[in-house]
Amino acid sequence: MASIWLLQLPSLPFQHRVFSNGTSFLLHRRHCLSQRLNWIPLTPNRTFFMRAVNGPMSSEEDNCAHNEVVDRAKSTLVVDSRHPLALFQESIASFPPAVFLMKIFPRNYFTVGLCITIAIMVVALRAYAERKPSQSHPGSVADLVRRGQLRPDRRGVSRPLNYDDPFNNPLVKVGKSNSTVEMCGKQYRLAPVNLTKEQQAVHQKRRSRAYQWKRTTVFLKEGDSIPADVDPDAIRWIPANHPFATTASDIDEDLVQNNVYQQCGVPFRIQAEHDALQRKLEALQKEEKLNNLLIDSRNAKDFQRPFKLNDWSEDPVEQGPINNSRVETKPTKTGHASDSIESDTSSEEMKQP
Amino acid sequence: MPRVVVITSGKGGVGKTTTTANVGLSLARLGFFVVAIDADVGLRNLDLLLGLENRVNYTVIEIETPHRIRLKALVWLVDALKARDERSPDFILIDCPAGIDAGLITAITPAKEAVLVTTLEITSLRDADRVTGLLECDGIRDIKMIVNRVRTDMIKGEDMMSVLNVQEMLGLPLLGVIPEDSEVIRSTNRGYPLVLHKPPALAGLAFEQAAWRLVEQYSMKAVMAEEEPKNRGFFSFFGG
Repeated sequence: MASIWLLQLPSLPFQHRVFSNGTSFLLHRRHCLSQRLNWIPLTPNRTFFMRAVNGPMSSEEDNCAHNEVVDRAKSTLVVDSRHPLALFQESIASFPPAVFLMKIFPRNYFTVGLCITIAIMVVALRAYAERKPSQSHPGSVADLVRRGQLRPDRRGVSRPLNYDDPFNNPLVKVGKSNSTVEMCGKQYRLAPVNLTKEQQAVHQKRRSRAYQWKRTTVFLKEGDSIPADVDPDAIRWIPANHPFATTASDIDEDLVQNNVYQQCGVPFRIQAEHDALQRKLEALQKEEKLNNLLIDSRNAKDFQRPFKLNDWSEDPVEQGPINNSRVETKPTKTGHASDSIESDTSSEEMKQP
Repeated sequence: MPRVVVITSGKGGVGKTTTTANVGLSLARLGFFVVAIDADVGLRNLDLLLGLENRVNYTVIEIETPHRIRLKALVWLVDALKARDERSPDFILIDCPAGIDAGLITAITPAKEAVLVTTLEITSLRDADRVTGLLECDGIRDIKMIVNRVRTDMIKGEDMMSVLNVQEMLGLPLLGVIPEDSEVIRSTNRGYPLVLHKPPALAGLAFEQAAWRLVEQYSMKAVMAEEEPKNRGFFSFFGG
């Protein structure tokens, strides 16, 4: 249960008035540590009053002051503690910030509740706005993308950036003191670059001493003699059995240089492969046509005269000549040969009683 | 006249192709005409990062096979681009293969500037130093550095060198510092470069800034040293 304490300072070097509003005490005293502080519990109240008295007090005066304060405190108690609203008010009053706010807006705790409600609504609205929609509305461009009519990445390229300078970017925020930068929500500390021109020159000299290299200008096969005006460090030797060595004499450099824009058409090698594939395809197609001309056991019904079902069941031997003809005209290919073997066995089975 | 820039590193897997794709796209978004060439003839990857793997018609291998021709092919190609009757490109970016053999020599031949990509590992730094020496021997003096895959948490815990340490070791001006970002892998999987993401990723913003510094031909004056906890005000839980 909330309670209020009365602070009684028996003696102080100087007199001053202390105001208490439930949240702060302003005490300007020099000998506070040496003073005796008496805390007197009082019944719950919204306000309490404290008075500091200078100078030593007699015990009688002290008791009088004490009683006076207690009486005043009791007399200011106007709230009925039995009422539930009063209990609610007491609980609010027990928290200093609430008491502070209630002092500013007396008897208007609805304002506090309203502010809190508005804050919660703002948070909820922001979360709702940032939430990605699970499905776009029907009939949108997203349906075209889903169906494969549109490429999804094209839509991003069509809209260029709105800023000319990548550094004048709303996503890149440099701190006021130029010591921090914020990119994509992360903050980084900046450290200055301290490479000078002299240091760069030192590194270049170091590398020129460490790495000696000359560009290859002449390619020679093994066994070739070195021309007189060529630096030996600029020669690259190609082994005699290397493909690059064998085809060196077949290349017309001028033709190759002029063919950068494919002015002479498709390269020879590609054309030759294409022609070979074309010939192979034509050969395969010819073979398929030939195969389709032969009588297939599956398609034999197309060439048979229609017969009655009774004749078929009573006299199966009559099928023999037809089966024999099928056997004689069996094709050479293995696939069809297996079919003919099957037809032979079936005809033999049919001949058996 | 187009600016021919080779993007190299020496060590493989440090982010040359990623840098080429993202810086090239950033330059294109800024309105420049950019041509990106993947000089890694046998193991091309630039088309994958740009999502163009199904649109490749021919490669250099199919057109000009012999080695000595391939060496000149890139030079002829760049000369042909410079001599275009229509608008010639503003930037030609050459993605160099790893190593210091014929692939590197081919790629750096037509270049006048170089961007060296490195990470905060000693192996990458040693290779980068070697490649820088070769570039300087070949006459390329305008070399700037991009430090990739930077982890500020490891730098703070002194488990990783800082960017300033790297600059002290190599002595090269800084073009950009790219923080480690998992969006890089996702963008590679999608074939959708990082700089096109909306909202922009952290690494994407860093690539954009590096592209602008390349345009303006200046280097970084301050680097992001470490991540600091953000000061949150009283109303921060409202989203402010």
